Amino acid sequence: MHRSDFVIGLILLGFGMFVVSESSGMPRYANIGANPVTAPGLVPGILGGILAFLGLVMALRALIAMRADGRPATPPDQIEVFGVEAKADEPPPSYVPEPPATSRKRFLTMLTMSLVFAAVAVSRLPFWLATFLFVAITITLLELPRFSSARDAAVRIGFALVIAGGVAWSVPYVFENVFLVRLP
Amino acid sequence: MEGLAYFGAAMIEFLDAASLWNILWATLLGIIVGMLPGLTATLGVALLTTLTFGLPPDEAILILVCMYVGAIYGGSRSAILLNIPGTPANAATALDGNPLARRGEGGRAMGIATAGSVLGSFIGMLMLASIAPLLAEAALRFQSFEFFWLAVFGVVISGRLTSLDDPLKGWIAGFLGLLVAMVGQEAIYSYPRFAYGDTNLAGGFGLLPVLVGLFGFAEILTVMRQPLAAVIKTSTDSVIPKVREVLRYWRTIIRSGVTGTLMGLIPGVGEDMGAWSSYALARGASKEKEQFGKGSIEGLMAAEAGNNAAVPGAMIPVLTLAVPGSAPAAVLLAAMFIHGIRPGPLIMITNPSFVYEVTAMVFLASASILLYGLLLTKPLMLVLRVPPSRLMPIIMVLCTVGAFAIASRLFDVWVMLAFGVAGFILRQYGFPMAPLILGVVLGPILDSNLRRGLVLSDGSLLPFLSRPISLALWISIALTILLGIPTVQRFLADVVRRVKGGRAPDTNS
Repeated sequence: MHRSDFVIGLILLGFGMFVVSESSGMPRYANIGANPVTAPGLVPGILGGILAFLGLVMALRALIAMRADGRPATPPDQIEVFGVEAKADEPPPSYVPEPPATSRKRFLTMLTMSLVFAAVAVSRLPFWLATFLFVAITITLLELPRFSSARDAAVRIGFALVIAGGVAWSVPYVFENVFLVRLP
Repeated sequence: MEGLAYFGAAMIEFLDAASLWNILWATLLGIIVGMLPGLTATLGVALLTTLTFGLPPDEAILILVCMYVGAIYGGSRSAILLNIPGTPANAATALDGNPLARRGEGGRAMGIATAGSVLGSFIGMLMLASIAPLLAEAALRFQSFEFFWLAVFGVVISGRLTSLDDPLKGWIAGFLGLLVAMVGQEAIYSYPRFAYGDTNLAGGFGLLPVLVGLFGFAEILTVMRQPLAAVIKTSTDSVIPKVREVLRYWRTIIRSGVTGTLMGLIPGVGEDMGAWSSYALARGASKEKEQFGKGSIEGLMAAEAGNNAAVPGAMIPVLTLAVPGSAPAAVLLAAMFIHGIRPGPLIMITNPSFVYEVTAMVFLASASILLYGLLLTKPLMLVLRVPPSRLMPIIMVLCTVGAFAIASRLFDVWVMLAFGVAGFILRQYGFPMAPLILGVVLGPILDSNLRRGLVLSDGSLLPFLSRPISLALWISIALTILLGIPTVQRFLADVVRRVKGGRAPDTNS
């Protein structure tokens, strides 16, 4: 946690300094007699400076914590909120433990499919087709680890196709005809 | 009396068939959105803003308020039954609601949550109707100096209270939000900041695509990254609360309603803190402290009254200062601007009936959560059985449409994706999202009022520091920052300990 805080602090410090430098390069309109306090770069420059300072504090704080011996490496697992102890890391009893690789795969599948759908497919395919393909393929990929037999796989894929068909038909219909909203 | 007449007129206006239909479906949709972990009130209101922007302003805002109230209430269902708060505002609900459900009293817990939510909303609604006109009148004295400090105050206090264990991250999120708002043409010279010749960037980032990214796409990715819940508890006992059981805790309900509303009123703090602070106060004042965390009816009631009271509370600054009290209220504020409603200090002069229309909207939304809470609790439980693998792709489609539809720009879809990924990363490292959103909303206010104030004062900072309201605001900001620094906290704790230690012999002697 401290190591990542250190790196993020440095990134914020760099970003803040970049904002300050960009802001200082913005025009001040002195040639048209403008008051210097109205310069467009004033506020972003101040905000960039504050962000750089906060980033520096975060990096230094993490550095001090990393160097300190015997200190806990992560924040305490109980957060006190207005005197009420809220357990931060205790898994709720209804969770079934799952290997980290499974959730990582699920996350990467969702991320990739979402980016392909929203950034590429909607601008190149008709919206209904992009939606149908995205929903059907994503549900199938997400449920792949749960396929227990050929029959189960067929049922799950069938379900995915039905949901995809329903969404591909209903979203354009509801948005365009009922609420008169334009779609990509 | 004038207020009551406006309220009556608004109630009559909303009691036609079309409005009642809108109230019923929007509140039900809100409850479902709130119930489903991963879908927050903010996302629900943001997506519905897109859907309703073709409707008349009154109907659109009515739908959004119903979604907001419904979602904050709906989150209690999953908090009680799954121990997973449906929205972050229901985290305190889970502390006592889930132990009750595990004892087989899930129905009773949901009934108490319904009663707490409805009564909390009513108290908040009464405070909205009484405080908003007064605050609007006081805000007429606000000039650029005060609005500048109000924007800073919002970001600082929101950063502090939404990230209690690490305020630094809350403040960083807030300042990142303010910087996001700096992209695009500024108000005085129309200079396109950070646009690098790109016309899309010169137009700035729209609030809705940013919101849908931070609260929609980022949330989808977060749900996918977490372990999946596999056990769903059901309840068989009655979901209708016993009147005697509710009335027994009338003090807790009033205290929580007032506390929740005041927490909602503070810019950017919102429902989460409304619930936590009400819960903490209820525990402090309770005769049954030992029951808290083990299935206390009083604790559950306090948490739910607190978070639902914060909803009308968060609307008070929206209406009177054009500053949002919470993240969903920020979307509501944006929706009001889209529909040509101009909230702010002049609202009681230009559009005095609107405050009471919003009060009537909260009343009708609260009445319908009572209806759904009593009649539809058990059928609604089926929603919790929808696996995320089937739900999240559908939500992603809605996020894409939601980001695109307001301005019909594909650029907004990319903005949603970029902010979604950035929001996911920031959340993984403990940065809260509410101050970031507040920063995006308050950025233009801070920017224009600082520069305007400096022009008025001819470059002098003195009016920023010496005018009475400015003085109170900057001292509050300084104290919030100082008290958030661990070294100062330790020093103060040490002083308190010494004072107490010094007094102890005196009291004994």
